[in-house]
Amino acid sequence: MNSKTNRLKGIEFREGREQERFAFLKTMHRGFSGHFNADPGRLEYNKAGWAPMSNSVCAFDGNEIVGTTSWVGFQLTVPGGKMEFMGVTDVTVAATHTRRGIMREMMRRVLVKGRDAGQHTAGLWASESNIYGRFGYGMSGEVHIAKIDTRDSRFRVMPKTTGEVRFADHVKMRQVAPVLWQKSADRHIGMMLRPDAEWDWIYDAQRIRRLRDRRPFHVTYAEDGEHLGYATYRIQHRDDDLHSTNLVRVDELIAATASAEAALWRFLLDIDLATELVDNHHPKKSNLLWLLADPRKLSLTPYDSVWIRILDPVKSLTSRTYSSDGEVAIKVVDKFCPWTEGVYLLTADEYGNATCVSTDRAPDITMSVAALGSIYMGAMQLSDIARAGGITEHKSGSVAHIDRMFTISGVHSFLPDF
Amino acid sequence: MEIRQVRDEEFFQWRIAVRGSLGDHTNRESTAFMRAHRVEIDRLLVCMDSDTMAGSGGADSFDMTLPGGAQVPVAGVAYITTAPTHRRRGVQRSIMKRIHDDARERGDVASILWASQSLLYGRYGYGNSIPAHNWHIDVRHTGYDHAPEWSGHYVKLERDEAIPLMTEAYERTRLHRTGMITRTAKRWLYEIHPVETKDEFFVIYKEGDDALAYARYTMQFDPHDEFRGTMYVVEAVAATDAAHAGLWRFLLDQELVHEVIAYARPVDDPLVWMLAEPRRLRRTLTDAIWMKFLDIPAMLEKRTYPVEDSLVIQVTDAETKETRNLAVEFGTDGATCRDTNTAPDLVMNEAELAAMYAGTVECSMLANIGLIEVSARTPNAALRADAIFRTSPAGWNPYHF
Repeated sequence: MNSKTNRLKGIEFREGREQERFAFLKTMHRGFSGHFNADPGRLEYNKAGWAPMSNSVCAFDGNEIVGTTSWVGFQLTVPGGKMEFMGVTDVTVAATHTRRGIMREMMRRVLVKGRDAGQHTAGLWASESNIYGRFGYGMSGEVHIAKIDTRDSRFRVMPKTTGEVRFADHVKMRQVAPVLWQKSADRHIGMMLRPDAEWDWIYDAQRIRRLRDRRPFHVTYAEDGEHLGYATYRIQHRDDDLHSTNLVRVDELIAATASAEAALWRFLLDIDLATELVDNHHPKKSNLLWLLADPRKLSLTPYDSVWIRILDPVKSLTSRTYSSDGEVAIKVVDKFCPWTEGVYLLTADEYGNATCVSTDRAPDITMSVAALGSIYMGAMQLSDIARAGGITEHKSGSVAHIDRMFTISGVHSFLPDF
Repeated sequence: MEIRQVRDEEFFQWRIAVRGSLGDHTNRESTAFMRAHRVEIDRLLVCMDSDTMAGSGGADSFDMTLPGGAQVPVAGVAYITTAPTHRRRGVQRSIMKRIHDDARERGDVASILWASQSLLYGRYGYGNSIPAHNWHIDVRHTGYDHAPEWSGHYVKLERDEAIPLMTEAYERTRLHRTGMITRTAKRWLYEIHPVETKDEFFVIYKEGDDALAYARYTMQFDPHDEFRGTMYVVEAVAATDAAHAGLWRFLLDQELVHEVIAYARPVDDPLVWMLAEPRRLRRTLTDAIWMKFLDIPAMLEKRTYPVEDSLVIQVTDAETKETRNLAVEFGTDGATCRDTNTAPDLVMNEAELAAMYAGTVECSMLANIGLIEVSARTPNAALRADAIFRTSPAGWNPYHF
């Protein structure tokens, strides 16, 4: 028996049961250094809208849940459309049980569970960026933390807008937001398509009431009665004794057109009594930056958003489209989930539609499953990743070729984190 | 008011006026050093209001590397000031125009600058071509997950011994990196100033006898804790991926250093992919190099492109507002460009063309927000331009001239 097995001695791994949901949530919230607010509404929502307990993998020490992991199936927009996606979530280990390999074992089991349920691509937003690379997840997108002193936010051009910004309540938002979200998702990759239960929860009257002063404001933007965008934001009250210096925190800004987006930014930047705006999920490709007359006043700090973990290269690689036609044989190395290893021949036609097969052919390039995950969404370039080492080009020019095939120009979003 | 070249005998007066407009003082010694090592006197301009210096401007001569490796002459615009007593009278506009006219006459195909404020130069046709990241790194979290293998060694040298080796590493890098510019022997002596940069340390990364990378850095210690230091990396330049990995391992592993702050890093620097904890590399975007084309066809023809395609681009001159339609055939070894009467696929101001030139911002994004107009006949022209202008590695210029 090796030391690793010893360290896991007495720990049992299995699916959680419905009657264990409360204990699961308690451990999970404590794992993120919070407390589970066990009000009935929240528990009901969790039952209805989030992962079923049968998706979970729990670690038990006796009767106590000491580790949680689960996954949620949803649709994610990718280059060329949308696909089924395995959102890995609720990954925690109790502070009393860390550094024993519990997380590694849960992760292995949950990925097997997803694969057995037919999922080909998994992913997550990481609480910390040093955790998931070792399990074959690759940093696949970036967003910005955007900050600006709103007094410095004059635009150099204001797109012509004929519409109006209006406040909206949660009832109105429940009607308008899902439609706009869908429209926006049609143009952006990396967007999660929220199920109805989630929309119900977001605009649930009781939930919002419980938020009290922390509840957000909503505005919509419409032209000739047609809704083209909305923004959800909160105001943090501050002052310097003489003047209000409130902070506008943008939760969501969703727009179907660039001019609607500009109009909503203008609204958010012009709110009286506020002097600063922060958007923690600002797109990597920031339209706002290019709208500003004095762009240096916008502070943009990039950080990792979605990490992608390929579970089935053949199904995964054929679930998106490509920017150019071409053919490449990729050897995938995967120590954590060895079943993905092999050489895969990817062939894309002039419309970007692809076929992919396992092949005996000599590979053009060898890369880790994490690197393949990184380029999957089309937002990261293999040529950048290759400069950090770990990628072997057997056929010269393969990196540049993959850049041309995989990289998607235009709009990425990566909203929301899940 | 009259704009004319600066005379040698009034150089000190001119320098006093330039520094004064920037809220600073100077002295004879520093001015003499600058005259000897930096400026080309026939590229310096002054705006005279009878016998008062009301404004200044000028350029340094550089060669800049384009995608594909071509070297083209550019004007490195600097010294742009307006006396506080003469603001809002068009002094700057007149000086900029004269700089551009003079540079065109000399054969410069573009002009580049670092802006003191980012709202100043768009109006003259400059686009933000080469942005950069400033880095703040807590060195406790900088282990590599993986990195190219490096086998070199480090040498720390004093200024006079370091300069030739830094020059060697800089040249090896410059010739292959879009956006980098020449630095003459004299200019090295000026940039690494015997007085103004006397606190700098120099480290060279060598493989065998070859200098492949270097860094210039300073250290600052907490006034109440002499063992708690911050490192400021002024310039870190590496000719190969392995040298880059080796150089940064050195910089991130210095005893007594708690934080490393580095300026003007490439927006596509691979360090983020090497770190086991990439989010600890705190990057903040800054605009860095603004560029204006002085000869649009030459700039388009002299770079290479990753794909073959053709577009008709209508470009509007920011100063004259004149438009021209350019039919461009792009290819992997360059482009051909001619004026045409054909209707354009893309309509833009020269600033936007300059902005998207070095692969750091996409045409489709600028089109999306209305800065570039896409013809209804060719709705995919912006996306095609994205592929045409894609540049890897993207433009970078570590040299704050």
